[in-house]
Amino acid sequence: MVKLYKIELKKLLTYSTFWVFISIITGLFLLFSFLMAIFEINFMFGGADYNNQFNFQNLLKFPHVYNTLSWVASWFNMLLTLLIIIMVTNEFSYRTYKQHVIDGLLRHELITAKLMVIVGISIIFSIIVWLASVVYGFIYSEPENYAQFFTNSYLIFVYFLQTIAYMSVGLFIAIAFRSVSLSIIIYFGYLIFEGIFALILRFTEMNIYKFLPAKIIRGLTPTPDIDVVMNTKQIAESLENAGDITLWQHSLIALLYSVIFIALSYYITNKRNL
Amino acid sequence: MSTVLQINNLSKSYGSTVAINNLNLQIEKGHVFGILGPNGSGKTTTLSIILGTIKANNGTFTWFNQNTNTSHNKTIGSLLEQPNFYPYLTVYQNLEIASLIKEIANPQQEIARVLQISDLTIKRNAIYRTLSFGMKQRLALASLLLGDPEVLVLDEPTNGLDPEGIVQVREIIKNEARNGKTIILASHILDEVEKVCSHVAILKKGNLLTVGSVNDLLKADDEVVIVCDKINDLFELLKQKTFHKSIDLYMNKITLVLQNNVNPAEISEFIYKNGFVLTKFDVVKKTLEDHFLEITK
Repeated sequence: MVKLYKIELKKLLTYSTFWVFISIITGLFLLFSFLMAIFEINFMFGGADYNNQFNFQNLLKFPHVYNTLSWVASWFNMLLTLLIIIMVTNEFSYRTYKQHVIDGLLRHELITAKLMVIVGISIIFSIIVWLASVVYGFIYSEPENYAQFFTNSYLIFVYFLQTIAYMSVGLFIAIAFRSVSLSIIIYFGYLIFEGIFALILRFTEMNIYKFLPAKIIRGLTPTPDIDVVMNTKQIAESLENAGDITLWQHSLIALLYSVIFIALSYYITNKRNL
Repeated sequence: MSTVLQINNLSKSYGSTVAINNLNLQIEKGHVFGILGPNGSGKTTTLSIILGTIKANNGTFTWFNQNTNTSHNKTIGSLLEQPNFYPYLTVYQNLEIASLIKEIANPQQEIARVLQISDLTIKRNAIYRTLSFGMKQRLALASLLLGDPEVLVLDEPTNGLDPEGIVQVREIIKNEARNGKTIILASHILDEVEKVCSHVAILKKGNLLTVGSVNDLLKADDEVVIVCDKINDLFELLKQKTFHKSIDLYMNKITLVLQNNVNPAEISEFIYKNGFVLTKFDVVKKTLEDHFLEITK
């Protein structure tokens, strides 16, 4: 395991595409969370005064901040999928996977190494989101909210699961199709297909659309409730009533999808010629 | 002598195209074993299977008499088809990755050693994509020598090299052979195989046509061309003897294709003892190329 970690680290330290993606995702996350912190809506409508009625900073208070920032961070998870697709398909185009096996690596170690990268990236982004949540939480919460520091902090773990799920999809597609352009087309093609398919299922009133992979994985970080912005609803309530499926069921199904995608990646790598 | 590689009934097809058909080979320790064949004969497929990058349809192979997985490749230095490295890493960083995979104890020392052998020390910090093809091929050679492996597997190692590079690679192979290494070399350059190999297998369309030592193969089918005063009498005399596979009289010249164990000197002595005066006695040795063309036609 240490050997695989060292090998992947050597590849990544000077790999500019990796650092560009990481910087863009981190930068966009910090920018959007900052915009949320300074965002204000002040307007008059039909004679009613809505000035100071919409308080977006409420979303950055404990315990809402964990939901808000994991949701903001989740906007950029698709970039993580693309990053993994690029990293894995490069191994095929450089023929380095083949060379690694020739040099003595076991086929399953190729996937284990990339899985370690996936977990590593997920941990780093979870830490970034957690740190940002703590900082914004302490800036915008009233002292009486500090007691809720740990409430909903599990959402950072849910975000961690979500990033792993996004990247395991990327890993599977890259292993299956090997070419970067084809993999990206397949990925976005599937998202469009699932969207249309879900819509058809919805019209036919078949609830199965709620369990489709992209929907399940996307739904791990629920949209913060606008009522929280208006100070009328608690976050726990919004999470529990997000749909027929609870967040924990969501997490479990997403985890199952990740395991399936990773297992398929192992299977294909063991079976196919390199 | 211990067996390094044993291949039993190995077969591989791509759809209806047969790449290897029921191949059996045994390679002993210390052999420099050439796998010869025209393009598409199954050389690279064979090497890819024994190195674990391609799955065979049928058959088995063992390295060092053990059923192994690809982790055994750590003790085998291999160059398959073309050099495969990370284009954005330096020569040194690429060798570091190979050292980690091969679990080499003193990677810095070992990398310095192989860089020196392959004449790449000055290029250690060059980015791989900036190297010429010849340099890339040398890096691949450096990489396969990491850890001083007991067995080297080389697929067309002189491909794309300039004449100086070809000589250098041959020297490396000869040096490694002198040090008792087992070398498996696939090539369609017959001169290359004849110069460096002790044993050879010839493949065509996935079938093994012949296998054995290069000396035995070259010794086989030596020809003797004879011209003398009473050529018809000598022809009749020689026809009755068994030391030739075939005999032919054409334009006052006798051409004999000798049996494998017959020394041309024995024939010369026999002719002299029977009172013939020779005006010409030429021994024509076939090259590996002659044998190859004959076997594969």
